[in-house]
Amino acid sequence: MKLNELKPGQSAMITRISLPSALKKRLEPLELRIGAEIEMIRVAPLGDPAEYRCGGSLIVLRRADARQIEVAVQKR
Amino acid sequence: MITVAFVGNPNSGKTAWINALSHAGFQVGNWPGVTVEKREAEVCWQQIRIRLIDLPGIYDLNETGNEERITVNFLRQERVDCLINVLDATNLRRALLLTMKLRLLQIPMVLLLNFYDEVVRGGMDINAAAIAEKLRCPVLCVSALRQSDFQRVKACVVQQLHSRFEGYWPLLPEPLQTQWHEHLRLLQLASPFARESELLAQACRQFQHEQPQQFQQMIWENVDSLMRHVRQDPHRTLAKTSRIDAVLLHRVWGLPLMLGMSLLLMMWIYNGSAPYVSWLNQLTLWLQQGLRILLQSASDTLVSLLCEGVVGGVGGVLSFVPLMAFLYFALAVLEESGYLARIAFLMDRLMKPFGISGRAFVALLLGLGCNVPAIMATRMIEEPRHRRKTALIVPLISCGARLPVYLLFAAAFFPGQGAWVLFALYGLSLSGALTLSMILTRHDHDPQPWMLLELPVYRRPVLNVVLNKVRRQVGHYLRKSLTVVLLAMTVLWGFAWFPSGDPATSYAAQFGQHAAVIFRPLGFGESWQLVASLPGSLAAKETVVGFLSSLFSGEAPAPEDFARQTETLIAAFPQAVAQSLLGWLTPAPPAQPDPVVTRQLAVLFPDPLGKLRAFCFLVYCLFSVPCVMTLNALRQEYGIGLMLQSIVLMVLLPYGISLLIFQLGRLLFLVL
Repeated sequence: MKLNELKPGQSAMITRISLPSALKKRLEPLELRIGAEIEMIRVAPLGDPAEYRCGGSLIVLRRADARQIEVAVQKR
Repeated sequence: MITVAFVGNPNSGKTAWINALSHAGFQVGNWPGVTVEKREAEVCWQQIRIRLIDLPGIYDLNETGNEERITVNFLRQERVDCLINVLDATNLRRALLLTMKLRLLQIPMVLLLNFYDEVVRGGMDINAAAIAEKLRCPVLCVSALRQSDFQRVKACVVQQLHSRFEGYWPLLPEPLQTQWHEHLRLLQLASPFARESELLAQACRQFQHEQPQQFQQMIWENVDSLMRHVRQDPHRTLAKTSRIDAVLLHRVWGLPLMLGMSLLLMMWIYNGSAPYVSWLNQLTLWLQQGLRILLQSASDTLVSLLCEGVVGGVGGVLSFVPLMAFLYFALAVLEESGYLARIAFLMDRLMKPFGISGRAFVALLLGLGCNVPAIMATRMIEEPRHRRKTALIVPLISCGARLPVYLLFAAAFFPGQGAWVLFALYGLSLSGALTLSMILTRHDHDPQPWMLLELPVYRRPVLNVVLNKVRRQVGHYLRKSLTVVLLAMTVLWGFAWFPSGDPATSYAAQFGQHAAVIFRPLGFGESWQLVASLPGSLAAKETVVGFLSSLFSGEAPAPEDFARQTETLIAAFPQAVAQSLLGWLTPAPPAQPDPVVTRQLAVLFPDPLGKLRAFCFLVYCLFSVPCVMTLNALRQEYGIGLMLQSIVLMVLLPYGISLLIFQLGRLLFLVL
């Protein structure tokens, strides 16, 4: 499933990141890497971008970029 | 001289700490060759002279981006006796990534787990002692709000400086451990006199270079091992921020709230500072009158130079300092509290048709204060083409220095309608910026390349950090006024005085009359005074006011009148304070510029089209070539090419728009 398909409040584990390496490097210290947990918080008033929680950081990604990140929803 | 460097993530509270430890006695400059801020201070702790240096906020030591490169180079080339690593204790995992990499440089280090008050409040548990043992360096739990912590940090750093340094071994899995030991042995043989720590640092560098992925893996494993001593419920830590964001970033109410708050803020900035601006104008007048009485016997030229040129010109500009201060204060609070990033979040989609990202919008917003920091802020934008495009648009945003011109003309030509004039001008500025952005974006294939934005946790802005920011920016404006503006005013005064002492026949008038031809179709060519004031705006936009103020001034008053004037002036100050604190919510009359100047300005255009002409002049000022400081910032950040593009744009644009407005206006007037 893609990151942008998460609903507010849903958590998932990151399985693949298909973004340019420049962006990947920037994501790394923000704990957005394979195996990390990410939670979707809310969408901006006009539908884009969306806010996610990664570890203790709140980050914002556009739908187009979130579509390049694959996640797997955790089964309880 | 002992050197102690501060390193840490952005938003880790590093700035507040260096403020506190240096008692705000630091110098701010730029790192050579780039426009990244450099903060340095000299202090004396327990009789040791120490040079404190603030390295830029970074997340990693990868040499991607100016900030990281500066830090890496500094740590590599300069001798650093101790590092103070400031961490946001509420967000440790990612801060520790940098900490690990710093620790492996084998430089004596002190860790500050900052925002510890929030740790306690959020029910977090950090075993600082265990972390200190694993990292083999002191770890202090501190808060910049607690004065007692300052002494603890100082004492700890001094102790580190005195103690003998041992090399640091990270946690390594078995095969790697043997590999490192071997490597170290070989290095030891090659340089038998080197210390263990130097060899370790070298071995580490080689490992990173040869096996980057294993290196990164090792770092994360060490971080995980340290994180085992931290117990945290991320939801609880983010609880306050989540609650506030639920309101401020609400799907329906988020944008209207932002609009409402912006309007309120603008009212505070404008109405709150207006009483002080008026008072300072009174002060300038008083100074001029006083000087005229004092210099009654001196030569006319000297009197004019000092009264009109210097006091009139510079005073006219300085009287707007309160407005600047209020503006910078508001922007600093927005930034420090964390709300500025939310603005980027809310506006990103809205600005998409114009090709402006949320971050670019924030950079343009900063341009309302001064274009120079706005151009620096474009560095935040990820994509290079987008960065250049935004930098080109910044000068179209009406900066604070242009406000005095608007206010002067509003008082002269649009009494009582000042607010509408400002609204129209700022609206024009915004429309111009958006339109230009749309035009520039049409040639881009991907209108919105990737964006990564972090929303910092909401924090109460630390007063001393905010005040220091304001102090620095206002200080910059003051320095500019007392140097560039003073020089420009003296030169301009000279042109308007010589050869005859009568402004109407001076060189300035002659120039104005010749050049007026170009500006006649724009409506204001009839007034040589306005035309002659334009070249000055290249030095600084405020000189237009200064120049006009110096042209129109009065004569020496009687001594009794002066005494009365002095009394009024002194009494007016507390009134100004009261008005500012209590009356800013009511739409107050706009800040009154010098009434003498205003009256004389108003007669320049007596015909029915006078208001239109004045407005067209203001539009011309709004869009015309940016001041030298902005041009310099463009050149430094983006090269001469972009600077020249900006100049060409800002010569053609104001002419075109002013022309359009005047001719259309005149047509409408004739028809109606």
